Amino acid sequence: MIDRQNNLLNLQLTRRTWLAQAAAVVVSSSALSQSLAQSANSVAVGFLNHYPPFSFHDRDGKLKGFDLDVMQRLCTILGLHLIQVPEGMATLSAKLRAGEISWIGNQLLTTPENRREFDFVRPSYASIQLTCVQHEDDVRDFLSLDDLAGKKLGVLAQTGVEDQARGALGKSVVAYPRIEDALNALAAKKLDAVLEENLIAEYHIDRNDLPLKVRSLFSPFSIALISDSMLKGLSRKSMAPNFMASMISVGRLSPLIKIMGVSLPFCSKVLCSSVPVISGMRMSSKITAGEMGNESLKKACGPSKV
Amino acid sequence: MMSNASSLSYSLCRWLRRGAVLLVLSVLVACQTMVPPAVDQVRFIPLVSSKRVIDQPKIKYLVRPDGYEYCARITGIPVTPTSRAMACAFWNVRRKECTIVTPMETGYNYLGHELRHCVDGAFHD
Repeated sequence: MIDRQNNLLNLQLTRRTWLAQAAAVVVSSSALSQSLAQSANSVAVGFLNHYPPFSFHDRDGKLKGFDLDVMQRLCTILGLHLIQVPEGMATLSAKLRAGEISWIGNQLLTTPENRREFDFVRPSYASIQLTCVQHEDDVRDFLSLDDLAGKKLGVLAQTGVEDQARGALGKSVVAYPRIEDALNALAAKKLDAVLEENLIAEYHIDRNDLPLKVRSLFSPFSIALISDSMLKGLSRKSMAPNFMASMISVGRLSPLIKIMGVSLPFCSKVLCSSVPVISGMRMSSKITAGEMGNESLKKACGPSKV
Repeated sequence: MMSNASSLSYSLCRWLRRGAVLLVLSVLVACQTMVPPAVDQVRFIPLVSSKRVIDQPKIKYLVRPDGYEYCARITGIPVTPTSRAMACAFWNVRRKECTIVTPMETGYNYLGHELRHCVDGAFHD
């Protein structure tokens, strides 16, 4: 034992050998994590590291969020160990391309740009992409951008919403780098309304106890998608629909949302399909696939009772 | 001259045929659009209070010139030659609020249907 220790001490560690060994450690750990990510029993999933309430670090530095819970549930159902990889979007995109993660667990809009870069699978849940947030005391009805002509509208800067709002309303649109700031300005009655996704707005309203309300819908747009170009070891075609079917059939999404404490006042058309909390009545006997639904789907709308 | 007359009658026939096809199509469309949803063709027993999505909703009724377009936008049901959203409702369970939107011209059945949504939530496929 002592001899062996002496032998180790006798090793000549030149800078070159030290660098070579360090590089070997890095390479092997990277290869290890990659092999872990690709092993049959574990899967590395990327999450945006600051996207509350979907994925974010809490005060203890622990990654949490609605998307994380959904993905955790997915992995539990699939019998996989989830390896969380929190990063910014650019890094996640690069890691996805390099095969270091199997998919991104956050929602992505199916824009032409995103479609070029990612393959999209079936939605895992839905939210109302654009709702009008107003002050608690405000009884006006804003159902379209036309209704907001001449009003001060807060939006998140450098987004499609900003572009559209500016195109329709011009200078009365105030863009904020953080949506929290827009909501705070609205709470202080410096704005007439803010356009934001319902779950995000509700999260900030709840969290900061703001005197605001998510009022009207501007779009039905939804949807959280598992985006991926390489679902290693998994069948892309079968995974998401099976996951959704099993989650919905046993009503598993409801406790998930309750755990998050995110209220979901508007249940969307995609998750609930034909049983949208947004209802549309039309004069036709035709029912499209998007409108088809069943009892189990209705149960999945339980979170709307939160 | 003869050839001119025959070509004229030929094109007239073509136009008449097209007109007839269009007429038939429009009648079919009208017939189809006059069919109310199955769910509205039957009587129903209102849910008891405990089973309602919102027991005592605060209801707002908005009549909008852009009612069709708005309902199409928020429901994702596009306006097509054979169908369009005649009314819609959205509700906030937490706030116990419900908003019904219709175009300028509407009917009892549409209002009743949407009112039921305000209380029973998503009651139909």
